[in-house]
Amino acid sequence: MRIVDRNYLFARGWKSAAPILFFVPGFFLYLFIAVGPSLATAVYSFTDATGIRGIAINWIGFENYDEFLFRGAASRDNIAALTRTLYFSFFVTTIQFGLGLLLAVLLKRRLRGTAIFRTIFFMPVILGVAIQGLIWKLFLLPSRGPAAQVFEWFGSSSEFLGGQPRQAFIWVIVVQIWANVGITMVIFLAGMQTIPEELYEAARIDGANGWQLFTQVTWPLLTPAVNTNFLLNIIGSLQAWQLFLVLIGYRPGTQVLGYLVFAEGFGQTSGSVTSAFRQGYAAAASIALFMLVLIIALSANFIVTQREKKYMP
Amino acid sequence: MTSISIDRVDKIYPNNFQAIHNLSLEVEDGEFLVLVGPSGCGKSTALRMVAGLEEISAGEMKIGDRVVNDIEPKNRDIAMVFQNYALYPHKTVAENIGFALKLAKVPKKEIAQRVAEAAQMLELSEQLDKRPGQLSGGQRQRVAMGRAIVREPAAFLMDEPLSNLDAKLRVQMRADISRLQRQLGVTTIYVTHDQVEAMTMGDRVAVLKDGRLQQVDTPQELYDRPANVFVAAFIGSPSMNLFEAALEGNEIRFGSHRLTLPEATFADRPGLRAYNGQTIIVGVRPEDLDDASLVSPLEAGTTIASTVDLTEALGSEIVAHFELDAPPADPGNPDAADDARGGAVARFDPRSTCRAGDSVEVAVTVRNLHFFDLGTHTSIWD
Repeated sequence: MRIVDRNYLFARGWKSAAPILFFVPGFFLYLFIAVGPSLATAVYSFTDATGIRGIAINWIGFENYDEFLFRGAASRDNIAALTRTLYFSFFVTTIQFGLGLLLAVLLKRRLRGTAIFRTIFFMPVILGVAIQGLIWKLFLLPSRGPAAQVFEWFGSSSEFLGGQPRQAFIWVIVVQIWANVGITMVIFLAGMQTIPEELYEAARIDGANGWQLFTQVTWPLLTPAVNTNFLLNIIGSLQAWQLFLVLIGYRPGTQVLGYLVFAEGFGQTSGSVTSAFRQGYAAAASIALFMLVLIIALSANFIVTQREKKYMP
Repeated sequence: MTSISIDRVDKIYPNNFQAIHNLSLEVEDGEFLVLVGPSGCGKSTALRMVAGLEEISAGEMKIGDRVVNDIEPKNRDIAMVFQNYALYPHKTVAENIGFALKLAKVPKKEIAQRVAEAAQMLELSEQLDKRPGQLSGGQRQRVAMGRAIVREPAAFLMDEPLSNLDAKLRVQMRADISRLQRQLGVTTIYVTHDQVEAMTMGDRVAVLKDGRLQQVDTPQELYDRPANVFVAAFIGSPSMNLFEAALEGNEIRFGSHRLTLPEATFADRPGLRAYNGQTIIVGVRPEDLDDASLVSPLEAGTTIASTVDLTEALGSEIVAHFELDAPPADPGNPDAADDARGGAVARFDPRSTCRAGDSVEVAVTVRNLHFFDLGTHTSIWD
C-alpha cells in the first residue's frame, strides 16, 4: 500500500507532466508551420506586401478585397475564376467519385489480374504533380503525341492543351481525375473490405439481385468511405492549381482561384512580360478561396453527417 | 411440402481440396436434421451447398422435386440463419425481418402484418424500430430467426445459430428453436459442432468427419449403436473411453485388467465371436462405470481395480478420472486432442467418497460395452 502511495506521489511530480511535455515539440511545430502562416496570410491580406525585401509594407485595409471582388476588368476575371473553380470542383468530384466507386466495385471481385489493375489505377497517385503534368503534356503534344495519333486515325486533329480555353480546361479535369482517382478507389476498396461477406450471402438468399446487393448492402455500409471520399474530393478539387500551372501555365480563361493566388503572389509570365509580385493581394485572394472552401466543406459535412445518422446509428 | 435430397454430392475446391466426399442424405418433409461434426468436417460446406452459396462439384441436390444444382439461392425457396446472424446493421429490426418480402414486392401492408406476426412469435414486438446494434445477442439471434420464418420458406438452413450465445441463453434458445420448428413444421437442416445440441434438437443426426458421412440416425440410435469409433467418441459427454483389448473366449483382457462378457453380448453381436484371440477396440461410456462400493449385487468379472487421478464433483455426479494401463484408441477427433491420453473417465454416483490418489474398485456395466474392429474402427455387430 505504502509503495503504491509513494509511486502515486512520484507520478504527481514530473511523470504526470511527461505526456504533456511530449506534446510540446509537435504542438510548436504545428503552430510554426500551419497556424502561424495562416494567421500571417490573413494579416498580409490587409497590406500591399510584395514579398520583396526592402520594399515597404503598408496597411491598406480592405483595398485588396475591394479590388479583387469589385474593381474593373480584373475583378470580372476573378469572379470568372471563382465560377470556373466551382465547375472544376463539381466535375472532378462527381466523376472521380463515380469512377473510383466503379473501379472499386469491379476490382473487389477476386478475378485474375485485379491486383495488376489496382496497381495501374493507383500508380499516378505516387507520381508528383510535375511528373503527372509532364506525362500528359507529352501525351497530348498536338503534332507528334500519341493522343494526336489516335485523333488522326479518326481523321481528326486537336490542339489539346493549346486549344480553346474551355478545351484546355477540360483536359486539366481529365488529368486531375486520372491523377487522383486511385486514392478514391483505394478508400472505397478499404471500405468494402469491412463489409462482412455474410451480409451479401444473406441478401442473396433474401432474394437480392446484383444491383440490389449494391444499393441495399454495399452503398449504405460504405458510408464512412463515401463520406471521406466526398469531402476529400471536394476540398482537393477546390484547392487544386498545380496541374494548371504545369499543363497550361498562365492563360486567361483557364485559371482557377488556387492558380490565381499563385500567379498574383509570385508573378505570372505572359508572353515576355512577367508581372509584379503582389503577395498582399494574393493573400486576399487566398482568404477568399479559404472562405469558399470553408463554406462548401461545411455544407458537405452537414450532408455527410445526415447520411451517417441515417445509415450508421 | 418439402423434402431435401442430397445424392452422391462432392465438393472439390479449385485448389483440389475435397471438402465433401460422396454425401448422400434424405431429409424428410418437416424433419429436423442436424449435421454435426468437428471443425473442418464439411458440415457448413454441405449446408451452404443446399443454400446455393457453394457450387456442387458432382452429384445431385433436390429440394422438393426440383433439382437445384444450378439454381440461384434466391430461387431455392430456403431461408438461412447464419452464425453471426448477418443482420443488416443499417436497417431496423422490422426492415431486417421484412427485407426478403420487400424484395419479393409483397405489398407494404402485408409485409407489416407478417413482420408483426413473426415479431410477436419471437417476442420482438418492442424492438421493431431498433437497429441490430442496439440489441442483445439473444435478441439478434431472434431477429435472424424472424427473417427466416417471415418468408414461410420450404426449408430452414441454420449454420451454428447458437454458437455466439452464452451457455445459459443457448440452452433456452435450443428449446425455443425446437419448439418453433415443430410448430411451423418446416423442413430444417441445422449445423452444429456441439453434440449436445445435435442430440437434443435433431429428429435425426448426421455425423460428418473429413467430409464423409459417418452415420445418420436418431439421437438414441447414435448413442446406443454408434457405427464406428469416431461416432462413439463424438456422441456423449464425457466421451466414451476407448482402448485396445484382446478377446479371449468370453473374456476381454486389457492391460492388467480382465472383464467377463455375458452371453447376451454375444447374442447381440454375433460377429464378435469371430474376433476370438484378436485385438479389438473396446468402448465403455463413463455412465457405465461406477464406484463398486455403491453397486450391489456385484457380479464376478465386472470390476477393474485402479487408482483415482482426479475427481470433479458436479453435485449430481462425480466425474472420476482413473488410471488404466491399456493402450488407448484414437477416435480421430481433431477438436479433442487429449482424447488419446491414457486413463479413463467415469461418472460416479455422488455418494462415492473416493478422492484423488485413492485405490478404487470400478464396476463396469459389461452388458453396455461397445466393440470395434481394430483396423477399420467400425462397430462389431453381425
